Amino acid sequence: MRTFLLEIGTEELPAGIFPNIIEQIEDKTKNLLDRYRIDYKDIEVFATPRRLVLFIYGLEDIQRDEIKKVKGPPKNVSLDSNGHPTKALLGFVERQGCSIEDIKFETTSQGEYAFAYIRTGGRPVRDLLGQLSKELISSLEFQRNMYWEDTKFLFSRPIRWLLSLLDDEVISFELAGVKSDRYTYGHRFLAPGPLEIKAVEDYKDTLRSSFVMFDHRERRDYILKEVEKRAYEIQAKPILTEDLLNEVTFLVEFPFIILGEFSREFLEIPREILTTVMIHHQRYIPLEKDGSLYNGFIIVSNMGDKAEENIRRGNERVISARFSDAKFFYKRDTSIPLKDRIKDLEKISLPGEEGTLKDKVERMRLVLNYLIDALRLYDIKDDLNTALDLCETDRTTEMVKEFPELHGIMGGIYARLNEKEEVWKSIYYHESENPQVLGAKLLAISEKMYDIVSHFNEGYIPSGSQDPYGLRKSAYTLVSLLGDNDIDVELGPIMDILECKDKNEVWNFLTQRLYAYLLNRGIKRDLVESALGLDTTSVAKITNTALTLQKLSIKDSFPLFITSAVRCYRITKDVEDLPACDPSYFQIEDEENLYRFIKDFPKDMSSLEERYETLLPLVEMLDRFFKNVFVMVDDEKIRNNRLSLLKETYRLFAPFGDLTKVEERL
Amino acid sequence: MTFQEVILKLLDFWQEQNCIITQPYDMEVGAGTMSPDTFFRALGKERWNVAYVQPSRRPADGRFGENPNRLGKYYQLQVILKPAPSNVQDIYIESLKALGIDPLLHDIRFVEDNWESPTLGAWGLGWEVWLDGMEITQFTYFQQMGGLPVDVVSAEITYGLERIAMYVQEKDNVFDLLWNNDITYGDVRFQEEVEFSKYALLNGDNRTLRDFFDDCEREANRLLGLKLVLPAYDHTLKCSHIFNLLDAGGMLSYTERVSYIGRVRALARECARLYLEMKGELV
Repeated sequence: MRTFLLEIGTEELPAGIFPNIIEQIEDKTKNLLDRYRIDYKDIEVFATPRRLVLFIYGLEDIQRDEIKKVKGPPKNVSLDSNGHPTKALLGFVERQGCSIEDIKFETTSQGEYAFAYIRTGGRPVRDLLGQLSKELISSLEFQRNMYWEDTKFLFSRPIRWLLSLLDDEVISFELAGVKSDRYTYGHRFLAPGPLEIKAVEDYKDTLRSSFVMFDHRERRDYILKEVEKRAYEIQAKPILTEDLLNEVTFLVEFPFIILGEFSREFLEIPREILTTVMIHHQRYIPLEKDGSLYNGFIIVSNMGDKAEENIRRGNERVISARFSDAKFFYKRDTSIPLKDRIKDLEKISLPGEEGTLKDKVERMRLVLNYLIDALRLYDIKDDLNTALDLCETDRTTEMVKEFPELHGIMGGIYARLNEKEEVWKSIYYHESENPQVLGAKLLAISEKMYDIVSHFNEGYIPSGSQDPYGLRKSAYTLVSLLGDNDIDVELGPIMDILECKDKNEVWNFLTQRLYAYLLNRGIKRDLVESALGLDTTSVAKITNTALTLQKLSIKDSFPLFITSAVRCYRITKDVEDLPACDPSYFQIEDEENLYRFIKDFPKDMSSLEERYETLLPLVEMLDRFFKNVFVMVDDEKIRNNRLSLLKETYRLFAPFGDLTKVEERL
Repeated sequence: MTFQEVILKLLDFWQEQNCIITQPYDMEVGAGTMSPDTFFRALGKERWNVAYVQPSRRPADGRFGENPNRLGKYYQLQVILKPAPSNVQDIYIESLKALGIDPLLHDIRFVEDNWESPTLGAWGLGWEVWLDGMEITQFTYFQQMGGLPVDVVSAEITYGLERIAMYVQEKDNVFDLLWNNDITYGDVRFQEEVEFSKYALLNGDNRTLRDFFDDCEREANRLLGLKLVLPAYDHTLKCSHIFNLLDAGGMLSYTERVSYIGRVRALARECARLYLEMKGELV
């Protein structure tokens, strides 16, 4: 049982490829080992910005055998009258490269035949690992690839060394002009190497003592712990998201945690600006004390100790320069209130569409007012229109020109200086993933409908990997807002308001996202499909139907409910232009009963659950109906009448959507 | 270390790496990449190692001399190593040591940043090099130039000279940099920053610039027809700079912007194509 170690040494890999690339290596290695029929116990993958590391433990020495079965001549041709092998059989054996002992006779549908059971494999694993390694490395996929040498091998960044050992033996192979060997390199500056690895078991300790924390999980946990420790030392708390932690983990090979400070004067700048600069531009970890932002930050550095003083001072100067810029912008921006910027919207054109920001705002207004009317929110109409007037004006500010990701937030912050809460909060949250205020939600819905329809109208329809305007994300957020907040409005009229050129295309695009949204809410696929079959363009209606179906689906009565409904549908689905049901043609009591049930059924039943309960008696009623009534009689009048009756029955189930989707999976 | 010493030390270092030291291209360009010493030499198969200072004009970044960190024109030190040596990152680190920056006393990191020039039809993958949190160098492996995939990959190392000098001199305002021991950066360049910002941001003439662009574009095409690729490229660079002026002056709508970029790119592509064709290397 041996251990194989493969280290792909590279120039700094982009932090964004992690953790996906680690999963890729795990999955692809397992597939390759399986395909090569190599038995093993376990695999481990580690990564730093400069190396991807694979351990395969418990390797057998020899490849697993494979037994191939090849059909040969029929038995009566294979053996002579004495039961000895004929020339035909011997020829077959020779061609397959096996021996006569490998032949077995088996009966098939065409008679008895000779079958050769050929054993292949058994190659030493040592001879396969080089090829396997090459295949693995070549199969790794990245969003962006580059070549750097003569063979034009493609990878994320240049590969500079390959370490490949089976216990203590080098597994030789060559890729991208690099030959595998037993050397690795430590931390770029603290222990550059080269470092000889005599045997696989030496690797981990050698790297650890060369300032490389190769285990990314250990590195991440270490960073988290040390950051928290450092923060608590000054009675502060780190503002550390999973995303930021993941990123800084893959920006260092050995983390040093360093605390820096900035002048308190900068705390007068709104917090969102400071944290955006610190996190997105510098990858610092901001700190807070007693709920407010503290004038300090933590650097996750790749060097420390003697260098710490320089690193702290250098970073402090950088952040001070950036914050000075921000302060300058803030001062300039606040000297012109948002209201005075409205006229400038006419001068800004829109990427990917005709017209200016002012045109966009006016079109959004049509949608917004439609929403307000549909939801009867007249008391906030004025405030929302004011918010709409202002929500794009922050694009003319220095701050948003410098930090475009702050659009919306800056609008809210600047509006806060002059406007009431309903207005500024609507602006502040309207670009957020999770708008906190109804006004923000309505603005967001208006904007996203506008974005999607106008881009589709211009022909920018997302496909495959092409979605330059992020319409998929917009659509998902739109659907979530409508579904999560039960905002029950038909989107069809909104598409009309926006002069949508192809409503079906847009609706299809939205339903794809709605499908994913409902699945994400834990609703079973067939129930989602049923709800999507509703004749509506209201996301909230579809969502509520799906949610109700989910609740109902666990009832014992559910399966029969479904089959009864679908039975009505199936028998009538291909029949068109049926005359209205005429009770004078009824011949059997069950027709009469069914008819009365339909007529007596309450017309306005808004609760789906109540509808379900009220429809349950139909199960038995239909069961008796189909037992006693022959629908497809020769007499056309009677036949059509019965079909018409069943079609009307099925209509009672319409608010549940397309139940045939559910029936399929029962 | 004064500003000019930074430049001389770096040029000296790269000279020792067998780069030829050429002079800045004598036209308005936005980056060292646009000089023919990079643009054309990055195409084709031959070996090429060059280093030069390139004054780089970015009219839209002009701040009238009021911003301590941002300039409408700044100095890049451009290095091309073709083919890219396998230890190119190590060589770069050595160049920092030549400036007195000891990697054991600082946090030097390669942080993903991919470069792209839509006007040149060029892109590459690489990094920003961070020195204690400040970006001092753009490091790129070219993948495409003039719309064509490169045959031999060049490593491009572009130093931000003012940034490095500010770091080394511990200055917070670029205009306070010591150019030599007696003269500051502001003494040399402040007026230039003020006047060129006023020109580019406030006083450009729309008609003049547009006509100028059209004339240069026409001339570039005429020269391409005459197979005079280097003069044609000069006119392409003129178009590129005029576009930058139109853009900085806010004279372009979004669609116009896209259109102008396309026109410059078309010229750059033609130059690249013709260059390789004349070398007999067009695939």
